[in-house]
Amino acid sequence: MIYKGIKIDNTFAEAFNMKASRIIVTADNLRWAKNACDSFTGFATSVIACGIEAGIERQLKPSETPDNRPGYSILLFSMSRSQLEKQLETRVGQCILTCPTTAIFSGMFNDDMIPLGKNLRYFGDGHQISKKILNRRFWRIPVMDGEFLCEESTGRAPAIGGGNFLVLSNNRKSCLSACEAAIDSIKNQPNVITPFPGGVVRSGSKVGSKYKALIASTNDAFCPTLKSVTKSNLPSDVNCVMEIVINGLTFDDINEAIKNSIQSISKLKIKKDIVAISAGNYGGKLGQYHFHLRKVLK
Amino acid sequence: MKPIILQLKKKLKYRLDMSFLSTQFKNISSLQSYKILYGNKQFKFKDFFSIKGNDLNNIIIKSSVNLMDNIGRELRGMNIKVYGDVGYSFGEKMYSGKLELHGNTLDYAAAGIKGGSLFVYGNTGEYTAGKPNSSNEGVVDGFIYIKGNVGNNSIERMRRGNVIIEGNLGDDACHEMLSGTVIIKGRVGKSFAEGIKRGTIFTKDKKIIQKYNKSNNAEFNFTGFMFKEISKIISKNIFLTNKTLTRYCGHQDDDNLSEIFLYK
Repeated sequence: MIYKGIKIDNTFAEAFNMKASRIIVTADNLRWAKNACDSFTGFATSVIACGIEAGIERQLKPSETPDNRPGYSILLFSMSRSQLEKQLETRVGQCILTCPTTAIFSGMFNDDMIPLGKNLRYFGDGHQISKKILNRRFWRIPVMDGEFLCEESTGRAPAIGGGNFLVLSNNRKSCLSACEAAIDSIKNQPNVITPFPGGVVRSGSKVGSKYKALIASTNDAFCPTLKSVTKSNLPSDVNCVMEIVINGLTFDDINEAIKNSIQSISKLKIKKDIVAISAGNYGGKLGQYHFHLRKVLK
Repeated sequence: MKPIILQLKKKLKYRLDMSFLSTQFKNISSLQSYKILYGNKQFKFKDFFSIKGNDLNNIIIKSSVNLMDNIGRELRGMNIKVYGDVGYSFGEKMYSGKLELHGNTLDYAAAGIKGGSLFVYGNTGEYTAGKPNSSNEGVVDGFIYIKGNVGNNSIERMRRGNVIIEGNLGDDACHEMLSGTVIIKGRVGKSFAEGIKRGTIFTKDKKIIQKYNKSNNAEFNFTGFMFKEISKIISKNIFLTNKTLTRYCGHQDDDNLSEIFLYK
């Protein structure tokens, strides 16, 4: 299938059930809100070794935040509730609580709530103050710049992680430009994040390794440098592959993000260098959700 | 579904216990035929009120008078809106839902409420948001907004929740307060907050802060957020928005961990 001048492989992305939560971080200005969020979402690219996958969902105007200050919303994804709780608490404690002027609020409300400031309050050493407004409880923890305000708990919801597509290009510069355009097109889309650095991953992995200790290793079928030594899935003119991994709250959110991303690539002048758009999967045996690229673009 | 509108048919001579309104009736006919005591006789509910509408979770009482007691007592999940004055124990011990009164109340309004939100666009009597007669516990949780003045002995033994008073507060208020937030726009009466343990009070009355130490001029993130949330609940900007606040805490009495925010 050729979509607006770009070849779309007849394949699908395979995604998994995950659990997600959303938090809202505000600060006196965007600089410090961003500092806190960057710190929070650092080392949160893959559940393989980071515990969670997290990313900034979007920037919020002061009118959109609970305390009328600028901020960001962050989405967190994990395979288990315990890991989500643990990582959330650790990261809020080390990255948000420590960052000047910040406050943190729940960005998701449902029956299934997980602790946010519930245990962090003990940092106040008995001087913490609880405030309850209708059904929401907050903690005021005294810190050196005044007070750290955090909501007691945040919601947890079922979500999907691992939606992806691969950009196959005949040179690295064009491949990166295409990925940048794709990421820019979805950076303000609600309910999705791209957890890898800048939204792009160059070390796509396959399950297993020749080394028993490893659960994942390089995806040799898509490594251009290994075309001559392994069974490659790449056409002969592909010299660079980059992947965009998308986590979202629902199937439709990821579907739309993949569609918007590929559409944005199709509008670029360098699309002549893009050999094809493909996707990563495990044969359809592991993931519960399949995003067929050609169906997504219809 | 249209809210049920109740209109009083005749002028009351004796007190009328309206606590049954908090009961979840199965249908309109069960409400119509509900038996109530009036004086020393039993009547059907429809003998006193004309009933329109069909939504049993939304009730509007028109032409209420201060002989009607216990409206919204132990309310759970319903909305009741009242036009006119009401009697004693308006919303006493309510658990959840919303009560709105466009009039004045007698004593024990919002006493011992455990949740929900209660709005009074008039004055309230004594023991408002205090201890009900039957227990030693004041407001456990919930949101209370009073547009007018509040009587003596109010907000006693409050444990949690928010009370906003736009009028004046009577004598002996906030005694033995355990926690929670009280915001007062008007004057505060004598003997205020005796035996208070914790909690937050916003006031302009300087006589309250005499035994407290001035805290600092630090910025408190929670105030902006709290005023925004309260403004949303009361559907108008709370009077504290954009006011300069000075915090006082550290009472001479070591057991008193409360804080006062003084505004100009």
